[in-house]
Amino acid sequence: MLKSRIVFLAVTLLTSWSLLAQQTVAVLAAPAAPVIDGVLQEDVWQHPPQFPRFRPLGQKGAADGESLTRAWLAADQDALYVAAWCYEPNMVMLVTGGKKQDDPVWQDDCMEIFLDVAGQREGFVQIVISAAGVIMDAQTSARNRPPDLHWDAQARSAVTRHDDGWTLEARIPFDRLPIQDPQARWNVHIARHRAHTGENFTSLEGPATSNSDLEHFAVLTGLAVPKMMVTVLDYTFGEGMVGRNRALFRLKNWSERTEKVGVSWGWDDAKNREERLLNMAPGSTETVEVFWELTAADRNRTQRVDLLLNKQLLRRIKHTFDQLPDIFADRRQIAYPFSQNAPVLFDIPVNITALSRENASVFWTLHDAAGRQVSSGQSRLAGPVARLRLYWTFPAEGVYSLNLKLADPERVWQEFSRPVHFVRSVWEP
Amino acid sequence: MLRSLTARAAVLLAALAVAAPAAVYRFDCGTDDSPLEAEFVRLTPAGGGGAVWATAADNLEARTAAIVRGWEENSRNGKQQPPIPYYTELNCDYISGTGPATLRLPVPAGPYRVWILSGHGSGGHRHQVWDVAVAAGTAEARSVIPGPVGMRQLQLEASADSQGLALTFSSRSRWLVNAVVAVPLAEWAQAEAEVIAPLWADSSTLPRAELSKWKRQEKVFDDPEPVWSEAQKENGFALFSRPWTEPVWPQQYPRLNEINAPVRAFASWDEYEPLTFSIHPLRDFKEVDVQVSPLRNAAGQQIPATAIDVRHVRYMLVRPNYSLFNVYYTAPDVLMPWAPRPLRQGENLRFWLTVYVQPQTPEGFYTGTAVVSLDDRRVEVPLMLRVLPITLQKDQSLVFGQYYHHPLAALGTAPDDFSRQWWYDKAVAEHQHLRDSGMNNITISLWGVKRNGRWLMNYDHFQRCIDLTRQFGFQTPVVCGLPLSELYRRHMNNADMGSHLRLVQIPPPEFFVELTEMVGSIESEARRRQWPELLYYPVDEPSTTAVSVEFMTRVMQAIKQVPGVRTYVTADPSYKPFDPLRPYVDVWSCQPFSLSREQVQKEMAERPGLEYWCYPNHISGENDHTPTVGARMTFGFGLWRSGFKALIPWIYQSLSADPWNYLDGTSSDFVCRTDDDGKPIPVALWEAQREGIDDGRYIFTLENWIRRAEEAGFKEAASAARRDLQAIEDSILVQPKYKDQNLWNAETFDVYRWLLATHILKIQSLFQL
Repeated sequence: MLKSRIVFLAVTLLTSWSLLAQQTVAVLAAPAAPVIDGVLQEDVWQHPPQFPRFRPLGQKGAADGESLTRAWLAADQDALYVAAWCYEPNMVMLVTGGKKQDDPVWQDDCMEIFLDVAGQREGFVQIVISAAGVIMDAQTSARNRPPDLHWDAQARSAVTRHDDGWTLEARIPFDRLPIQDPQARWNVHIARHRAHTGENFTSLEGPATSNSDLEHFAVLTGLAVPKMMVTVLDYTFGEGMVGRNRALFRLKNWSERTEKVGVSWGWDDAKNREERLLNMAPGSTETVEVFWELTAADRNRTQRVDLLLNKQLLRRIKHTFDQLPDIFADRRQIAYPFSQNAPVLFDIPVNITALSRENASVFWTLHDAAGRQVSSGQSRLAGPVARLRLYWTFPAEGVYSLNLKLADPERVWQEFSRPVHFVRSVWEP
Repeated sequence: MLRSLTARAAVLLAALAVAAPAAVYRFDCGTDDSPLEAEFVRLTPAGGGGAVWATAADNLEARTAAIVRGWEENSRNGKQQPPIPYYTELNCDYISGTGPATLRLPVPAGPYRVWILSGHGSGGHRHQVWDVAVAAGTAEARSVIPGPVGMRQLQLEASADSQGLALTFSSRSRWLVNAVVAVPLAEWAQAEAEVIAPLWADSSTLPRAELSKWKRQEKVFDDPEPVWSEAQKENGFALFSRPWTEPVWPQQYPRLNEINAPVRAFASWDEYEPLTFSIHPLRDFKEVDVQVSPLRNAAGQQIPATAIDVRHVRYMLVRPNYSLFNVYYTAPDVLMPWAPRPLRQGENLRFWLTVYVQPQTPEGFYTGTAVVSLDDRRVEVPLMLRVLPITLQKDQSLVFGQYYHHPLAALGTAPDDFSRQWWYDKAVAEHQHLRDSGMNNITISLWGVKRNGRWLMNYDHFQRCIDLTRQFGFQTPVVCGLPLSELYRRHMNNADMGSHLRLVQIPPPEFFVELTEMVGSIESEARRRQWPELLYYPVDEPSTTAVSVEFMTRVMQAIKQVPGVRTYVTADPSYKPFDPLRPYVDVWSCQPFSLSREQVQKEMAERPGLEYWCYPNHISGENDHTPTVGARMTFGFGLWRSGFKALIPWIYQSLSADPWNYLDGTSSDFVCRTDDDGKPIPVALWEAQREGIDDGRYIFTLENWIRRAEEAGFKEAASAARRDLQAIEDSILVQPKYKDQNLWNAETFDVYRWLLATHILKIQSLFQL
């Protein structure tokens, strides 16, 4: 008993110590959802701001005197709300180059909201809102990874301009945030960029050296996401290549009762959607596996997965396939050395999913400049790269045409022709 | 419970005490009241702990520096910066002298290994080159430490007699010693692991308490462990060869196709070419060594072993970006001159050989061996080089430059002959290295003050720098920094412009008038002294704020008032807010190839004097120390495809605090290092830059042969070559920054270079005398 009390005390002390060392901010409870109009007239914004001072990023002790920026955070059961007041004595100099969603508005006069909703200080989502109200949002899943601009916070924002500054209101719905554990302690950072002066300001009290300095993000307390009783722990839409993709969604029921969970998926622009219903036991984890087909015609289309609890939307995840590679996309090597004693090896990347290459082969023929077929063969597609072995049976260096066909017993995926240059190996006398 | 824990701790401590080496004699050098390392005895010029100096205390000097852990704000750039350096109790203080001095340690008779910590010459002269020689009997160890920050450890074996152990310190300039540890030879292994290594880690990286705040994020690889053959298991190692453009990370397993793969390369006349191979040790080895034979052809003609530079790749603790703190990992980086070394199980050792092919070396295949000995094991690694009878040409209109901190700047203030000579030798060696690597340009800065209405500039220093570049054939325009901050201060009540114009305000009109006068006077002097063209470079990377752009526009306008001069700015021409600068900028230098080739060529054709340069810091080690493929691509095929006229990355040698410690200092160190003798030590990225330049030489040589063939009527050969050149160009996935994505693989580079070479050989054979 004594031992457990000592352990409890030690844990409490350690936790308290780490909280004391870390800037802590309590979120305001929003009794009613603020109207997102850029006018900070709601009662909730009449509280003292949780971020009353912003200081120049990378400097300490510079926040004395009148702060140029103040910010508030509030929440209801559906969303996080952000308000900011940005003093600006030189309103005509505001830079607002970004015009549409995901334009690089971090270069504009803007506010940036960073949320580490996993509380692990490993990744964050970033919502940048310019002085024109344009939003750029991105998810950085781990340190030193590039931000994924595909992520869409589905945030709404509005900005109002005044003679001596601008005010901002934004709504960030919980159902788009990558919340894995509803009990996790969020970490937050709000930053401001004054583009016309080149100044960067931070809400953080610690010695943050950059906007993404996760170690110094403030701890957000008082936040409850009661609806998020079932969360997506992690997911994948598959390989994102042409062919049969295997999507996986790992769900967890955090509540103490069995929950009826619906998962629906399909193209965002399609009427027909597939659905699956799960009865998830308390504390259980389930993996939903979905097989779906991606074709070259789907480039720039968006897949959407909705997680529903009692038919209410809990989480929406979207992915747009704007980087869909051609099956035979790689044309970086156009010359190959040959020798009399060894085959020429072509390593041809084939951008098709693992499931679809199970029965697929690359059939190839080689033609000389006169169009005569000089060699042919086929290679079973055992991995993402087809290795073609060309045994040298014709003597001349020069340019040939390599015709490739990717096919399985049911269909021809793609036919493609490309020139290849053969040059005698440097290691042959 | 607590009592029982205390008792357990006591037992543990007692056990540790028993396990520690019995007799380690530790002396911490310094002043009477300087900080003392735990378990060390204080040693001052008057002696201590029974140790005595056999020289007058007056001939010795002790100094100490404060140990600081707090960070401070740099007012110029507004950033917090760490203390420089992170002194420890052991290296914050030292004893130094100029003449020989013998230290006698009170240790029992017997054989010892002595560890000497030397460095961080706080309070010494900024350009002091410390030269530390320690002798004991016939054993001697020596190190050279340029400047006030840098650590070395020396070891030597010595015998103590009934009078103790005598160590004699001497120097060609000034020596210094922070600590001396003497360990009975039999106990060395244990003492090295438990006492010496932690102290050296504290001194050479960061003190343990500081390093514990950093996160170690090693690269993770998914290469499976190969099934080792019986021979490999018995030998205790596997030999493998990976293309030099691909890094070999410390813990990475070799791939199957790399094990025992041939080690070979081809090269033309007057070309350097890397040959690399690696050892993956399956157990520890006490000593690994390598001997490289000459390379011989079938006729017995040879490329001597002296034409093969033998190095190994040193793994360094690096930061993910030069300006980041608190995260680090291990990366393959510096190409150290070879010296026998131990090898730890599981940590790769990459040998990096560079062969130089003299002009007129008979063409053909040359073979030789590298004999590697690992303790009692020995393996012969076959080497092959094909020599191509090609005289490579180089496009002399292209600039391959480096930002440069000039060692000659130390000559005037170096405190003694040795130091002065060391800095001079360093400058000469670096220029030779630059030239041999294909570079033809460095930046040089002018500084000066205005006195009695006249600008007093360091023209003679500048002249010496120009003379040195001429000595090594650099003929391209010189990017010339200006003392603009000095001028600004004079007109703005001693205010500072801030880093990248962070604090700038628009000065009065007189400032700009005087700037024109200053540049006019510099230009007059430059013409009198017959210097190459100077490109006037007033501010580095001006910020994008409105006031900065307005200031820069007026600055450039003022410079352009001087007839015939050209201006240089490090700014992105594709960034719209810089448009006001356009009429006054002659040379735009930007980090990516940010404009298309078509736009670059069109604009340069429309406005004579306008040029686009690139400073590709992303492949010079500023953030990642390993994008070798990107560096090669940028300096060769990428530059060729871009239409840009120059590559001039930051920097030949980035130094911050200790040059061999990438974790200390306000920013990380990167690119070339310097050996104790002042000779350059390259990094893999540097070699990649040279290889890229060589790719460009093959391209340019072929282009010239094609033109000559066309003029001579050899249409078929010319057209086949042109077709293949075009095909290579088409296979480039054009990018603003070639770093590590969507690049060619090593084989592709090789086959393309070989394809170019085959066309050169074919066409030049048509013109043979």
